[in-house]
Amino acid sequence: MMMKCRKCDLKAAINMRQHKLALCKTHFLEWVCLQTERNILKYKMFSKEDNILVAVSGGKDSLALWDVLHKLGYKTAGVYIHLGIHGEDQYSTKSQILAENFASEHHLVLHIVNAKQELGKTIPEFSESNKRGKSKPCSVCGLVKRHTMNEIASKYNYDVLVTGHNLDDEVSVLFNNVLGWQIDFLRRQAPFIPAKAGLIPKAKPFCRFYERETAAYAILSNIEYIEEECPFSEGSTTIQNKELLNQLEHQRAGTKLAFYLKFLKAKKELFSSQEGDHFTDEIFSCPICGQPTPNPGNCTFCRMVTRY
Amino acid sequence: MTITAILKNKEYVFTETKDLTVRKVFKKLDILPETHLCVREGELITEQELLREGDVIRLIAVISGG
Repeated sequence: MMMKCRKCDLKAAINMRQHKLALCKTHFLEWVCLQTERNILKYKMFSKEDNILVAVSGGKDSLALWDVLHKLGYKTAGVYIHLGIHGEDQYSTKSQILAENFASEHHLVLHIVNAKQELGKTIPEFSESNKRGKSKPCSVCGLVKRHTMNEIASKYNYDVLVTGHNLDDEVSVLFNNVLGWQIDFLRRQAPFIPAKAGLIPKAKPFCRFYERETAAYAILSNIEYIEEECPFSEGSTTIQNKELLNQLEHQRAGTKLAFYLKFLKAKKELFSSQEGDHFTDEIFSCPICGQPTPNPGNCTFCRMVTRY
Repeated sequence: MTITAILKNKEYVFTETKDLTVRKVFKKLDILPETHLCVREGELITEQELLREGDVIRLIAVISGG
């Protein structure tokens, strides 16, 4: 039997079991925009007055997010970091082209940073020569991205950095942090991280959408995104966790959503307001780049770049 | 007549097409419906959709991240 849209009786394009909600293309696209706006307001992320920098990877989440924010009337620009990851499909170059195409079609500004040109090495090259990257190339990548995005946001006076993290990303990290009882990481995990000395606020307006929904939004909006995975992500902990969590979700719809939302609720009781999102660890300024660092002296990023 | 599913540039051809739904294709390919979407003739279709003789469907993985 044909599954119908809850709102108009047309054929459904997607069924979201965790919400007991099936929607047609038109109503699903509307629903994503409405829910994104609700998340922005609920977690007090930003307003229409703010200048928003969208971290764009060329993937479904970041391009869908940029599209939704643009449709909702927010003032946005993007930042793309060419990490120099090639693989069989010229991963970074292909991703950059897709990000550029999106920006150009929507008449939006896209800042492009090329790791090789700006830092002297690509991420794989840093990974090969760096102690940090020998076991985990992804940690080098994360370090470069966090540093560069904050640098661009500060340089061009953006008010907030938004990322396309979806609920699957969030529960994967949460699951990992619970397995290892990483109290500091648990304390800091939130849909919105306010500014602190030298660090721009960060927001995740898609944090309550399943990955399936952000992909559906991109497909139904005809957004061309990179479907291939980063060659370094194969076998990563994030993907392993997502597979496990999807097995639980398959057995009981809504498991992932409940895990995340109940964590956010429990967080208020687990950590006092002073320890919560506004944690007050001492912050130092890196003498080379001026960005904040938890210890005196050069920050981890500058130590990596100057050493190798 | 057959039904063809394309997954990561590989084609899977089903000859037993009677009452074949997207959900059944997922099951035959050992795929969780939580991890893929299905597109037929450029349109997204749900797991409950009954497939037709000659259909070519594309299964799109949605899991990403490293």
